Amino acid sequence: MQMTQKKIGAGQFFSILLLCRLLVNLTFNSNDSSLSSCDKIISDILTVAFIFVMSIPVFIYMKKGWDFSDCIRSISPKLNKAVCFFYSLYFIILASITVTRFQLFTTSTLVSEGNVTNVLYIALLVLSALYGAYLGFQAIGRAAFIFAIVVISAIFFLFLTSAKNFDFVNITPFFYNGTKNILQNAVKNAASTTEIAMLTMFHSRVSGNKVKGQAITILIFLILELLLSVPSCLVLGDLAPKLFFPEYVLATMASLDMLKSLDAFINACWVLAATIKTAFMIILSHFCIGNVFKIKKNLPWLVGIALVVFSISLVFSKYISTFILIIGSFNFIIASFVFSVAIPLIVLIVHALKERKNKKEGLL
Amino acid sequence: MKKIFSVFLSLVIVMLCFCGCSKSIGKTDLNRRKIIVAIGIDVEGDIYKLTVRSYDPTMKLADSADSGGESKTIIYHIEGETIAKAISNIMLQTGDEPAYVQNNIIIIGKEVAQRGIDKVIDFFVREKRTRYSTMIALSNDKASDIIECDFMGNSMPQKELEELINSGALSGEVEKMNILLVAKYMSEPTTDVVLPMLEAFSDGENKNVRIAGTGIFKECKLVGHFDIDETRGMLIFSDKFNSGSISLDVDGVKITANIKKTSSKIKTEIKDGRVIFEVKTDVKCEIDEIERNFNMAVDEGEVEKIKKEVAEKIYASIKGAFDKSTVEYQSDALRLGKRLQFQNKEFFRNHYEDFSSVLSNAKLDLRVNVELNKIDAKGMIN
Repeated sequence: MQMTQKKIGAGQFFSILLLCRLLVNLTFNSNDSSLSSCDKIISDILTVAFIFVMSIPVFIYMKKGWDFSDCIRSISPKLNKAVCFFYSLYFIILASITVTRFQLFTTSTLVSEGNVTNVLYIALLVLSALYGAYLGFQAIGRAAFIFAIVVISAIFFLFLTSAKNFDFVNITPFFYNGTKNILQNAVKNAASTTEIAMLTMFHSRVSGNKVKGQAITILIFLILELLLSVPSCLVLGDLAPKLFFPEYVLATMASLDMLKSLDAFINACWVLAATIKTAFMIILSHFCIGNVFKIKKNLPWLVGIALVVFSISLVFSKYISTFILIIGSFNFIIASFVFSVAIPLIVLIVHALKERKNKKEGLL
Repeated sequence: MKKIFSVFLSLVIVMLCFCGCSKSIGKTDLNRRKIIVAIGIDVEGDIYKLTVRSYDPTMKLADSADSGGESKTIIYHIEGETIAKAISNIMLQTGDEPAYVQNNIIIIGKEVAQRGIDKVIDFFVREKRTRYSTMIALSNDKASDIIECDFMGNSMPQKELEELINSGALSGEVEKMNILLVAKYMSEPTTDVVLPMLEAFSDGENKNVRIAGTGIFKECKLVGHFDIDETRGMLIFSDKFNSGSISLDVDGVKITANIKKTSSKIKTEIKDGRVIFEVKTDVKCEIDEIERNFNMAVDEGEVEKIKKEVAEKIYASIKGAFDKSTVEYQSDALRLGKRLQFQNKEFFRNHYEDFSSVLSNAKLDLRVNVELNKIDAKGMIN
């Protein structure tokens, strides 16, 4: 397996990113209860706008055809190793957060019997993700492309089946509690966008038009976000901000003639997305480590990363309230911005200046 | 290596599927569970008394031809200091663990409702195994009377209860409520809950259940009820009316009109600190029956009289519901606060904490417009 030398198609790669982003929306509600479900729609639109702005450095990398790691290496090879090491840790933490969020959702909303199930859910997800990672990013990409179609169809289906429960009396006036909490929520949501860091690190392994791919992904994400938040507002109304997983509650209420309990179908989609995201995080972490150490065999490293993810997830799940506080904290938001925007932007500027200087020296 | 790993993983996954409902992953066996299908909640002193109808998969009806081989349900009477404690006490009585996933309906006794349904609802919202779509209704007396009613030996009485409310909602006699709707109304700043009210009665030797109106709550406590006419008014006002018949008396002739469709547009206006709800209701109906010597023809004069009579009836229903909820009980059973919040948000923001006084001073400006369709099959008036 030579995962670092192969390339992945843009369609498949952006399917992975879309699934990763959707999973955050489906399995975690970062809203504070003062944000009405109608204001959440505005907040969601703002989130997408922020994501677009945050993507500007990576758009430049992709447009210029610069590899992030090569750019750092051109500045300093040691710095490249250090940055890649920290990115590797970052992706391990993100994978653990994904697993813990999923475990939190399954054990708090679906079943809650016995501590064994917590460990079992984490172990099963990490094991499936490890298998996916072992098959390589191309296999993950192919699976993600199909899963993305299934998940997008499920969200459309959820919207259509919820439509009969729409009640316009549920609407709360926009900006009822001011604009501050809308902005705060949008910033929090945008900060949970880890896909920009993933794209920054991995875009040179993607073939096809990546700029267009990212723009389309953001657009599709906006549409799907609205397809989830509009029913949430019109069906759940003032109850939505008080629920931990409003989309799940929406799915439990949705039905179409004989088809009932659509939550099972939606849950299946979430399992697929969680597996893909965790697998890809393990691959990315391994990919970054490949820039730090010389890797002869991939499997031991992948198993090692998976074990670390498993261990961190277990710790997170044991101290779940602390975990929720950490991922909602200001420091975590800052960390996300550092890895997604600040480091790529600084590297970009320094590299561009260096290129300019080299060109000038070449001309002289 | 890859193949060995794949086979190993497949085996693990397949093995996990086989454990199903076994105890191996910390769950109770299916035959050791009490599958609850209906719960009635009463209270005596500080003790909650629950009447639970449970499905017993091990017990089959002897006359399977009559029941289609359905399993029989059993009634349990349990009690506890809280709902959660009472339900878990079913284990002490039966040795089996309660399962609520199949619960179809929750009936709340009158006394529990008068003390406040928030304490009752809290358990069902928190309990993850309860479905949000589980119906909730109110008993005009003891909830146990409703749960114990076997609908003339029906093997699945809880289904009959569910159907009673479903058909009541379809014929415009009741608003179908479930856990989600109740939780939603309770989370709104001013909205008060309404629940369909059921009544147990004796029909000869048989016990039966019928719809008795709609319970009105004020700050989660039962304060009164709408009768069937007022419930229809509430549904038409809220644009939740499906269809239903009304009886008219036009110049001594009995007429039954079938209301096919209604739509209400509500505007709120503030005049001299008083909220005015301007409601324009459009009603489409047709004649089901005219009790007179057989004569299909209906002249224009009669049509106008019928339309006037329908409009008056609907006006009285809506006005009755509005006055009862706002003036008599100061309850926001019609979700007037939500409408006011959307249309006059500053006024609402300043007054929602003392919404009772806003309601008691509120005025209804109602206009009902009736359209009569297809008077006869020969197209005399359409």
